[in-house]
Parts: sequence; structure tokens; C-alpha cells
Amino acid sequence: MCPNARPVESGGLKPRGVLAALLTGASVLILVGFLWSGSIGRLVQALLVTAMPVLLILLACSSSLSRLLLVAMAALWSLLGGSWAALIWLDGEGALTLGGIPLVLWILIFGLGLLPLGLVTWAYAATFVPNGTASERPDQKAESVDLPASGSR
Amino acid sequence: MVPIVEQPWLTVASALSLVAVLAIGLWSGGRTRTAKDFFVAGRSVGLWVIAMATMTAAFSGFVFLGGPGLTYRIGVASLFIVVPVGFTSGLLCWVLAKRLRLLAEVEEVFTIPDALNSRFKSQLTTALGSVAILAGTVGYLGAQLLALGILIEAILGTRHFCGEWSLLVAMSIGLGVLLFYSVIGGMVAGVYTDLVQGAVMLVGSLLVFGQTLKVGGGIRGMTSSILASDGMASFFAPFGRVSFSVALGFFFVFGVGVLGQPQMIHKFLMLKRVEQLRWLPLVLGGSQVICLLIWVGIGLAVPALVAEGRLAPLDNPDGATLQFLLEFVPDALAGVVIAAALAAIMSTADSFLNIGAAVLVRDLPRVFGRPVHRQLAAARMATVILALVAAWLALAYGDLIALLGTFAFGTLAAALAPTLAVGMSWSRVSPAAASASIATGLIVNLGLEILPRVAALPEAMARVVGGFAIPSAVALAASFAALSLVTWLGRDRADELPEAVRQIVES
Repeated sequence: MCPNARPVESGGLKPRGVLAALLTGASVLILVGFLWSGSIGRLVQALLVTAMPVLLILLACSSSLSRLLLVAMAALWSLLGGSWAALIWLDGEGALTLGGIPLVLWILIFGLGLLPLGLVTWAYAATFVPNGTASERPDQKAESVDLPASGSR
Repeated sequence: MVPIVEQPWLTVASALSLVAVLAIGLWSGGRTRTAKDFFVAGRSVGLWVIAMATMTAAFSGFVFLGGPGLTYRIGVASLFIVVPVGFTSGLLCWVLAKRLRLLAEVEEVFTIPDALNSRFKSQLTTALGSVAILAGTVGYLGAQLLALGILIEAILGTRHFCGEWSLLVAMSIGLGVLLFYSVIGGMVAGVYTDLVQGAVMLVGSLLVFGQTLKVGGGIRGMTSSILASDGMASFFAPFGRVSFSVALGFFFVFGVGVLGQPQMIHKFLMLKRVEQLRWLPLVLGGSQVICLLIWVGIGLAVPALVAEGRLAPLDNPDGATLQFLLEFVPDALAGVVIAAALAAIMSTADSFLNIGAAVLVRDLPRVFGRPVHRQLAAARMATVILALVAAWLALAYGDLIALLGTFAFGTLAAALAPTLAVGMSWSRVSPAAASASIATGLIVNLGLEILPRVAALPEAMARVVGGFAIPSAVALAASFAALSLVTWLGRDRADELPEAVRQIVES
């Protein structure tokens, strides 16, 4: 469904399976990290959590991964993971400021908020191609009526 | 809560806001003739309306009333709830929006349980999804109605006249308006009131953010005051006044959990053309950022004012927004912001009324083989019943608004996000895996939230329950793990899916 124009993988590779395996491993480790605090280390846990949205997007786009999308997702993970790493490093360091404003606030607003927003909205628009098979034909389904649907239930 | 009836601007702005939504309700009533109109606004809605409706459904009274109060209580750690908007709009569009919209073209999909049924062809999965939505709906609606009652009580000063019945009277007034347009106009009224309400929310947030900068001396002025205060030393600690696990849990649940929020993803089923999705992350994400300025602005201004001694320390953190509006904002501007808060509450509530009613008259009856024939009339009746039940629960459940919002969001996130996000992208995910994931999310989240409140836990268990992050984070991770593990352990039955559905999932 991901609307990317230039797929990079060939038929021999199965990125969907690889991504699903990574997602499985990440979710199990995240669960362990939340259940037993400190068991996998704060940085590892933060990197795994920030990897989840990236993995989900890549899984959704796994039939047509483009280089642009891969680069954008690498950048997104770097931004999110890097910001969390910086926050962990700052924990206990006192209130460091930049331009009179706490560094923590800069990281939260720009590193985790505004910069990812710019990246994601640009990457989505840049890779969007309205290529859905059903999307380009008029909706031919019967209009809804107050009767049982002809669906599968 | 402070009665503010003495300030006529607030009452006027709030009354105008309520009259506007009543008028839209009347207008949309004539355009709601079928169940398709009632549940998915006739599938004829454009980009801007969808974006605003999604934004307003996502941002409730929690953003306007609970958020700044939470910041006052736990410091900048509250921002871990909202900063995921940096990627959530894109995440929603990449993972769900297009697939759900295309699914609605090949099968009759009006609701999220409809989508689950189309994808998994399993009554159990659909039933579990419906129950999860109903549980989340009642919790979310309860929180919204409670907030609505508290706000109207403050605006009208009903405590002066009604004494101990004040909250009930105030909630009934708000509920009356909400039910009027939700029952008559269904989702047609829902999305178009959301458009107006969204505009009011954006204007209100922008204006009040400007006021916080003016009152607090800019961001630098506010942060300096907080940093200079001995009592607020931990406000700007990287994880505020919560643990690392709680902060990361917030980020996880509110970042990934959006994929399980039916009040948001249901809107994708209403989009007129798939092509309009290209700019949805920009419009949705941009409007969310503007709206969140009120959270950041008041969240910094109130502690700064307390630190400077210009405002007394708050007994009730949920009163942060109203306290700031009453003491530091001109009446006319405060009126706009109060109207925006009302709009935020009502827009979220109308979305939940609609999807809750759909569960009652469409999703569950079909699961049990007893489809309702006159869905439109039944949906209107179900909307009323659902609202009354949620209002009763809200009055009986006296917790903080922020906790109620988090509880319901987490329930929906843990139960539905893995099944929808992974299940719609990976055809190998089986009905058994989906059902296991939804059940795990529901049981773990509700169990961890409710158990410590109703039972004295054994010491070992209490240590575990109290030691980790928010229960929703554990439940969401467990739900993802259950989905993945059951999928890998089971046989690949993707070839049993209908061809059109399989194409959509695998494309």
C-alpha cells in the first residue's frame, strides 16, 4: 500500500518476513524491559521503542520499499533514538540550558516533535503515488440501506 | 472549581459555540438518510474536514484541561504524551489510512469491526474488537462527559443554584446539546461540527499561547522562573517527576497506540478519494501541533507564575487552565478558549457516541447472527442509551480527568493497535493471532488498571504492578508479542483470504 515508485528489492528477498521478525523481537524485548525495569538497559529499551513506528511503516511498505523511504526512516529512527539517548545522558546532569532555555525542552520539542513532523510529512508526500487498484475506480458498491448488508457476516 | 458566571464574555462565547453545533445538527439532519450517512458520512468527505475531524477526535478535553494540569504535576514528562504527534500522522497514513479506505471499496466497511471482519473473516476476532471498542468508548465518553459537566458548571455557576446536584445539572445541559446533533445528524453532523470545533480549537490555542508568552515573559522568562524556584527543581529533569519507564511508556502508548484509536482511524473510511491522502499527514500533524500550543503554553506559564508568587499553588492540578484564564487572560479571549475547550470535549464525545452506537446496533448483532434491519433508527436510540450509561459512570467514577483519558486510550491502544497495524500489513497474521492479541491487550490492561484499585495485592505482585511503567505500555507490548508469536507458530493461511482483500493487505 505504500506508494513508492522505485522498489529496490528483488523477488529473492522477503523484507516483510524480516521486518515481521524484527518486530517480534522488538516487542518481546520491550515487554521484558517494561516488566523488569533495568533488565535490558535504558538506552536499548528506548532504541527499541523508537524503532517500533519505523518498523511498522516499513512493514506496511514492504512490497515496494524505495531508497527515499529507507533513508527517511533511517533519519526518523536516528532523530527519535538520538533524542532519547540525549535525554538519558542528561538525566542527573543538572539543568543544562541553551540560549537560556533548558536543553531538555529543546530536545523534546524539536528532536521528538517538530523535526520528525517535517521529515515524515515530506517523506509521505514525496513517496505518495495514488496507485491503489481500487482507488481509481468509482465506488461501485451498492449504497447502504437499512437492510442487512450483503457482506460476509 | 471556580464559578465564572460573572464574566459575560465566557457565557456568550460558550453559548455561541453551542448554538453553532445545534445549527449544524439541524442542517445535517436532512442529509442523514441511511446507515452509511450515519456511520461514515456517506463516504463523501474531503481532506480538510477529515484532517480536522481526526484532530478533534484525538484531542479531547484532556488536551485543554488535563494536559496543562498534568504538566504542573509531573513537569516536562507530560510532553512525552504529545511529542509523538511528530510522527503519528505519517504513521497512521502509511500503515492504515489507505488500506482501510480501499477495503471499504471492496466490501461494506462502515466501522472498525467491519474492517476486522473483512480482513480476518472471524466472528471471534470481530466480537473481541467490538468489545474492546465498547470498553474504550464507555471510558472515553465518561471522561469527556465529566469534563463537559465540570466546564459547564464553571461557566454557568450552577453550584450557586443547584448545590450538590450542580454537576448533574451541568452535565445534563451539555449532554442535551451533544445528543441533539449526534442523534439527528450522525457522523455527517459529527465531522462538520468537528470542522467548526477544530477551527475554534486552533484559534483558541494560538491566542492563549500568545497570552502565555506575554504574561510569562516568553519561553525563556517562564523557564527561568521555574529553574530559579527551589520547589520546582525537578520540573525540567529529562523525565520530569516520573521514572524513565513511565516516560518511555507514555511515548510508546501515545506514539504507537494511535493505530488502535477507532475515533481517529474510523475517519479514514469517510474519505471521498484516496488521492487526498497525500497531504493528510501535513494538515493533520500541523493542526495537532498548533492545538498543542495550549498544553505547552499553559503548562509552562502556570508553574512559572506559581514560582514567581503571582499565582497561589494549585490544590487541584486539573484547574490549571481555568485558573490561568480567569486571572491572566482578557475576558473576550478567555471566552474563545472556553469555547475551544467545550469544542474539544464535544467533538471527541460525538465520535465515540457514533462508533459506540455502531458497535451496539451493527457490529455485535451481526457477530451473533442477528443483524438489525432498521440500523438508522436503532443507531439513534443506541446513541442516547450509550450517552446515559457513560454519564452515569462518569458521575460514579471520581478520578482525575487525565487518568481517565489515559486509561481509555491505553485500553484501545493495547487491544487494537497490533491487530490493525500488523494485521493489515502482513497477510500471514491469522484470526487466532488477532484474537489472541486483542484479548491479551484487553485483559492485561484492564487487569493491571483495575486490580490495584479493587484488591489488596500480595506483596510480590504489588511490587511488580507498582514497579513498571504505565499498565498500558505493558499491555501494548504484550499484545504485540502475542500477535507476533501466535502468527509465527501458526500455519500461513494467507491464501484463504479473498483475493481482493489479500491484494490490499499485500500491496
